[in-house]
Amino acid sequence: MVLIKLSIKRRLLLLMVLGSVLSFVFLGSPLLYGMYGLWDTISETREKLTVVVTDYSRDFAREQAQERIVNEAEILSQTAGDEANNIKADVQLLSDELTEILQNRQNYSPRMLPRASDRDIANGKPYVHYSPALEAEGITPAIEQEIGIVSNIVETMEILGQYYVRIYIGSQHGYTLFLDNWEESGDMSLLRREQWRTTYDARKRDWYRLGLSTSAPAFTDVYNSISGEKIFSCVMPYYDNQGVAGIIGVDCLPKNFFWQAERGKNIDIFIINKKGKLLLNTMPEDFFYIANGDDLRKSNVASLAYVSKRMTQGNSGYHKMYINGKEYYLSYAPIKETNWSMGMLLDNDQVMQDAAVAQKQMIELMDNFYTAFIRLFGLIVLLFVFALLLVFSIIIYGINWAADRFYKPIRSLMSGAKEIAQGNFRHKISVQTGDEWENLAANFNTMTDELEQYSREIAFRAKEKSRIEAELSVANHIQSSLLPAPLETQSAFQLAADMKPAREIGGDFYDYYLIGNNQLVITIGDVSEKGIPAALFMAAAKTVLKNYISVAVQKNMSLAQAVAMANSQLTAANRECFFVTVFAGLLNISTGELIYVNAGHNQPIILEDNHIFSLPRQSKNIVLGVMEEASYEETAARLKPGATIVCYTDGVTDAVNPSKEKFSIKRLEELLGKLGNNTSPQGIIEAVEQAVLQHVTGNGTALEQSDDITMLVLNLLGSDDVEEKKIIVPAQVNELLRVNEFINELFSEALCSERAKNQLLLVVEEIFVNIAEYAYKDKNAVAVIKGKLFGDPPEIQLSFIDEGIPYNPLEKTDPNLDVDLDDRPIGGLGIFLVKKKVDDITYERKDNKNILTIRKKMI
Amino acid sequence: MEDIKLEINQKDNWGVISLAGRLDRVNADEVYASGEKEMSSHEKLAVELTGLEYISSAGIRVLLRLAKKAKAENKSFALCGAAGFVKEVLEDSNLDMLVTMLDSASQLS
Repeated sequence: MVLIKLSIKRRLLLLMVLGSVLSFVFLGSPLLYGMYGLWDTISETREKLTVVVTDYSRDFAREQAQERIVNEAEILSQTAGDEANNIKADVQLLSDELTEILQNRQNYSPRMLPRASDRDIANGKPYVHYSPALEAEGITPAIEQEIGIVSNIVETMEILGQYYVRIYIGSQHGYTLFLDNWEESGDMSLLRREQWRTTYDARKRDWYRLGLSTSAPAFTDVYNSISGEKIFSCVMPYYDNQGVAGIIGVDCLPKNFFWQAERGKNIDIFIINKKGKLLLNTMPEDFFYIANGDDLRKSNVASLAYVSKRMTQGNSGYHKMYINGKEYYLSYAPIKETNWSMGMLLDNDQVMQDAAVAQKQMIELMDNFYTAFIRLFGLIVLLFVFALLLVFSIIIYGINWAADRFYKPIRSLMSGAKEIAQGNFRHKISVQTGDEWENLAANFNTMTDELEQYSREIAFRAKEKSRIEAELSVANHIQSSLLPAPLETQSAFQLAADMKPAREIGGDFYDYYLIGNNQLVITIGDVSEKGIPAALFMAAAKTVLKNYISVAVQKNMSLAQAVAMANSQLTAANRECFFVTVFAGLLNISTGELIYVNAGHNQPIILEDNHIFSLPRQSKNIVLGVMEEASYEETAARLKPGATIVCYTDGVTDAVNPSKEKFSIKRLEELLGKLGNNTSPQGIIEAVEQAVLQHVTGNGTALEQSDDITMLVLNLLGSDDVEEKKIIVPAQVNELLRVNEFINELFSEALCSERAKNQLLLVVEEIFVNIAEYAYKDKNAVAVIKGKLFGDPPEIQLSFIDEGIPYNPLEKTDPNLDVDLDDRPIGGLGIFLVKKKVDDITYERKDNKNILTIRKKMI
Repeated sequence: MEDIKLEINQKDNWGVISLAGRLDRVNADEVYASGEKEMSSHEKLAVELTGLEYISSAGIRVLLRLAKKAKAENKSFALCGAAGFVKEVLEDSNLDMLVTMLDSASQLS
């Protein structure tokens, strides 16, 4: 049996998932079952529902149709009534006009109309016809005259004639005025035709008899006219002064009544009169065979008989009937202005056409509804499943979260134990469950608190230490990497520099570099603060100074300008408000001329001829990095050959011993005085460093060095370092040869030009002769000449010493050479030439001696 | 008198003193004496310096005095062939501006 190992969290998770799945099954399945049931029911009732709905809609449509056909019948009969009214109005008009003519005969003159007996008359032309009785009686002039007068009606007849089949005026005297418009019966006017020309008598016609019985326009029933077509007539009497003079009539086609029937619809129309007689119809020929005689009311078809009865009574309505086994709808309405009633027969199919369309549409609608319903149902099911999934995922997420929550304290304890095992005693277990877990966590935390107590201090110290160490090492690296490499051994000077960095780095630096063969720049500086930022500022200061000084020397600008520009650049970029003290010196190696700028730095000490002094202060110069526009002054000094310049930082003079005593300048000068300028630069530095160290450690209680100890020492190799040669000669002109020999000996080893040699000999001669001739007057005395050659290129230094009267030849004014030969003095040229030929000349009166020293490069 | 050699020649009507070696304070007076003597016997005096290596202010003084004397006695005076260091000192002393200087004695006329 395999035992599956599960973590607590997983077990919890599994349990809860299982629970919720079961819940879903229990809750979800009835819901799904219910939905299925709904679907089933709707499917089942579909058929039934469709039938009911469509039947209902069909019946509704049918009712609508039935109502509509009644309306239609009423509209049609209304139209027919209007038409009848128009006809009556026309007949009335004719009667009125003719009555007017006959009653006012004197107003009209007789007119002649063609006579049917005389000639052929074309359709559409009014004419006169005499009945056979009148012909037989003979036409009296009175009748002749009456016809002429009556003929004045023809214009009106012609106007109205176009609307009717024919118009006729039948006189009681037996003549008839006729207008024939019936083209279908032939071109010939009707009464001209053989069969009518000799037989026709209006007074014998039915319409004449009807006319006599009425005083208003009256319609005949439909009858067959003499020309054979079915027509109906509207008639009324007209009058002369004696009473009825005759009957006016118009013939109409029944279709005139139906002309407005809707086209395209197979509607059969019929009209019956008051007695139930079928007057006209558009029915099929055999339709009314059911009629029993002339009266439809007596029809064998009960429904037809019933409807006819209602029609003759002037009602309107509709009725459904079966004729010949076919279903019809009969709608009817009375025609006003007549005693007729109009019926309209529609077969069932036509009536129900709309209903059928409605039913079909309804079925379609139902189908659409079901389709939509199926879609909707599908959508709902889909949504339901989606919602189910969503809820399920939320639950799973919730379960996970809950499991996490239950599991969290255990995990906290686990990870806490792990953390502590790794040495992190500051780790605290945070369990706020309010149960046993929390108690356990609290105990755990108490334990670690104690552990932490022990370790915290140790850890903190170790950390602090390593941070400082790291910073120190970086700063140390910056500082030491910037110090210049030793120069190659130089013949003209010796240089040594050293920096003993304090534990916490200060910002000391030194620098030296040659520009060309003859210029040496030395700088030493001290940045105000300590640490990495100070070291970085120091690096900047050193670099900037070197750049500007190098450029300045090459472009013949002054050192002071270079320092001022360096200051300006450093100040502009100085965000931390550091400042740096700087001593910068530019040494002309051959002449010993030292131009220097001291910006707030310790004054370098000069050792020269066994006396000690500090280079004068330049009080106007301020430290670098403070004032961007500061200007600097420079000072020129001359280092004698053999002189030593000692530059240092305050780490030397400010070093304190346990009694808080500073090493001080005094101690430094004493030490340097003891060492003298015969000690090499390296020796001086070592001695000073040792002395400072000794001062600091004092009685052995070691104090930490608080600041960098930095020194730069330069020794100009000069006369003192070369063995001096000396000659003592009587101060007499003829001793010049010996003097020349001494001089020649002095630079015998040097490679120098003949010209330089002669120049030097000239100098020596002029000075010596000067002493011989002027110093002692007549007194016998000696002159001492000391000389030495040194350096490369070789340089000679000569001192002329006499004990004569004090005389400084340098004070003597130069002779005026720009004068005529006459005015030109012959002497005074000697010292002038000397000054021209030497590089340096100094006069000193010392111990009652005149000491004139010259230096000259032998090139 | 080891350092200086003095030679006297006649060229046309010029008396020419040729100096060689070193003219300094020690032999200056002697050279002047020779020049003075020569000037007395010539209307025109030239000092030929081609062989001279060295001259000091004492030597300049000799030449200056001779030039002054020639001028005072209304005689011609010229220096010939000064070169190198000697010429440098002559120029330093501005003597070249006061006395006729010729490149060589052959230019005398």
